[in-house]
Amino acid sequence: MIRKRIDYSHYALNIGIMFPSIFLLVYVSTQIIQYISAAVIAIFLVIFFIKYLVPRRFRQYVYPLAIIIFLLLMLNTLTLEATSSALPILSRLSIPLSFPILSSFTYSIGLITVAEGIISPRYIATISEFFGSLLLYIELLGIVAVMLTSNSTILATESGVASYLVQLGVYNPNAYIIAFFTTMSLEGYALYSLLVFGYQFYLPLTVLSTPVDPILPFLFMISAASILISLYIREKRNVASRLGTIGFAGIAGAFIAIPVLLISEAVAPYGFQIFVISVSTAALLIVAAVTSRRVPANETINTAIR
Amino acid sequence: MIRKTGFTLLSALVFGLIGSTLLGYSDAILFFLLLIFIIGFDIILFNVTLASAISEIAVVREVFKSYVRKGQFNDVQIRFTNNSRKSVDFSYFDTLSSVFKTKGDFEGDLHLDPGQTIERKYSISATAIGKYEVGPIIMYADDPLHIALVTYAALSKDEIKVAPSTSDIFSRRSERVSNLLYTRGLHISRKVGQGYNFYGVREYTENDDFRYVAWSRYGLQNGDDLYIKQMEEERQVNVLFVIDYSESVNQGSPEHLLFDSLAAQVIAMSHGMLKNHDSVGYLLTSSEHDIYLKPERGSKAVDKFERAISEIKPGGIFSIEQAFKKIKDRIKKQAIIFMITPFAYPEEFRMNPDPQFQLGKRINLVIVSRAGFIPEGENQVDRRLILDSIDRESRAIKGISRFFNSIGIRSLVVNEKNIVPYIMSEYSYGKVTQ
Repeated sequence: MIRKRIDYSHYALNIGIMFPSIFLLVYVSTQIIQYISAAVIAIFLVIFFIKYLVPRRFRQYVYPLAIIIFLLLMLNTLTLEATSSALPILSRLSIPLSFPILSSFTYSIGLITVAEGIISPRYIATISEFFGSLLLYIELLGIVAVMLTSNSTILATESGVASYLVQLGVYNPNAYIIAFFTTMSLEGYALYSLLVFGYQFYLPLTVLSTPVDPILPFLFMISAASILISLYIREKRNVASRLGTIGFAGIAGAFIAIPVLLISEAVAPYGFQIFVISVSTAALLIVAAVTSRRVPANETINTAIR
Repeated sequence: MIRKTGFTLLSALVFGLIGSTLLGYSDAILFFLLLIFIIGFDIILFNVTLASAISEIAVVREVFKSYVRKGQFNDVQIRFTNNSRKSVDFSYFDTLSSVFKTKGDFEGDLHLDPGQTIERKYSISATAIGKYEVGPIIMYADDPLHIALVTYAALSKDEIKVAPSTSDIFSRRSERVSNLLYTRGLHISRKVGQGYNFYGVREYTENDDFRYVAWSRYGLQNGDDLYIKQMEEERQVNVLFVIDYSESVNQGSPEHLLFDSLAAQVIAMSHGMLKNHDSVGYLLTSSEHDIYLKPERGSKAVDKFERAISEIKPGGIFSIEQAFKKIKDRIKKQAIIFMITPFAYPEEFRMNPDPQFQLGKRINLVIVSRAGFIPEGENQVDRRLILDSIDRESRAIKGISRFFNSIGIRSLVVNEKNIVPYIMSEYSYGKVTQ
């Protein structure tokens, strides 16, 4: 039997891409470990391992099947909550709707996404899973930031049109629960105000600082570099002479992206942050699409050697 | 053109940017903005430089021969000239049919400086007869991050006509076929008449030509009895091969195609028949093709047939009624007709004899089984399914054969290996009984 050689550089690049997510996973875990259910995490990890234990042709069905089972259990649970009479067997299959269990779902989905991203054989899948897990852990970071706030009152009226007040006790035994619902409510209200009134007020991560703030930019740099390297080496056909265009694109990208960010932050108090970012991104994508026209095929002359 | 990967990546980045903006984390916003702009600029730079320059590359293909035999290598030369003001790195490949085997640079990577010309040579050899296109030449290049791609087709096409290989034809017109022709178990009386082959002797009668007296037998019984030598009558017959050249004969793998094998065997049999000074003609028929080469003697007939089949590929639908109609319109004299078809997509036949089928000519319907042309399955399930399909088809075509036999048209299901023995024995039978 020929053993397939393990490509360590591939996994190293995957870890490089996922670095911010891995770091945030570790950091968030240390902060919220007491509030989450170990059993739920264990179940999710079992699903992850089952995927690699079943024959290859069934692997793609493991997650969809797990989701279907989970949704059926949720349906059963909600039915039991709504009605008193039920079959005894169904009452045994209900999920306890407690906060640690529900919050563990979010955490576990992020955990599996990170694990899948690290071992994924395709870079594009890793990158997509990185973006998904990153947003999830930034969300959790926001909750942790609120949880760790030692001030009893946070007052933020930066947008000038809306304000909110968060009051937390430092030694509150349910600090995570309160922070979770506070952040979720704020995000929900922020999205509502954005869609209905066209402005957004600041969310916790804008006004609060976390201990990981100085470290994350470096991790983002490592991740960005890993993404670009993985895209370059993804296909065998690499032309070293054209490598310079990546550098040029990097410089040009930085020259535009940093001013766009600064402008968006400058206009944020007036509620134009999303507008600036959207317009600049849309303009870039339109230019990329317009220049990507198809090259028409051309008729050339053929001569036969006689 | 942005590739699917590029769209996926840009979508994921925009999703991340929106998410991080809504969450208000400026480090993440900068990260996503930077990546979007780097990838966006990479696409734009690629589009305005390499993608626009690739259309200015002039491509000329030169094909050494436009008419070759199967298995014979034919040289092809491609010349690329960069007429742009930029250096270009690109890959290319020449579009070839699956029947071609290749040697050399029919694909590869190239770097062309402004004004530079580079030549690439390769050879192709066809594994089946017919007319095939070579081209167009596709040039393609992508950006260093492989998220945008430009494809440019130089619409230069050449046609190569492939005739049966000499080895195919010569091996089959060998002595094996000739022996088969004369020794196969036919025991029907031959006719006595003018000819070169000795048939026997009989007693002399007054009307006999004195030149044919068998002097070696003089006085064999009573001292003065005379005998006459009898010669075997030599008669020329017209043979017509009616060949189904529809899609139904386009079966098998590129190395072993039904129409290719059929053509080689028909040519081999034609040589055997031409050796007997008989006339051989051909009718290639389908809804797309209608090529009639009237029966004639000599190797010219086969040459014409070779030309004809090297200029077409099987296509269209075969209709046996149409084939009978064409025979009726074109064959006025007596002829031995072999209609060869696999009946891959059979028509519905009426249960009563159709007057269309009553031509008053000796027609042999040769139904070729496709069993040898179906690729073997890769696993047990595939193999079982294929065997089952072959079995069903075999039963179906045997039923068709029985139907034609019942309405007076001689018919037999044959496979690739016994097509020659069957047709040659029917030919011998037809020759002596006509």
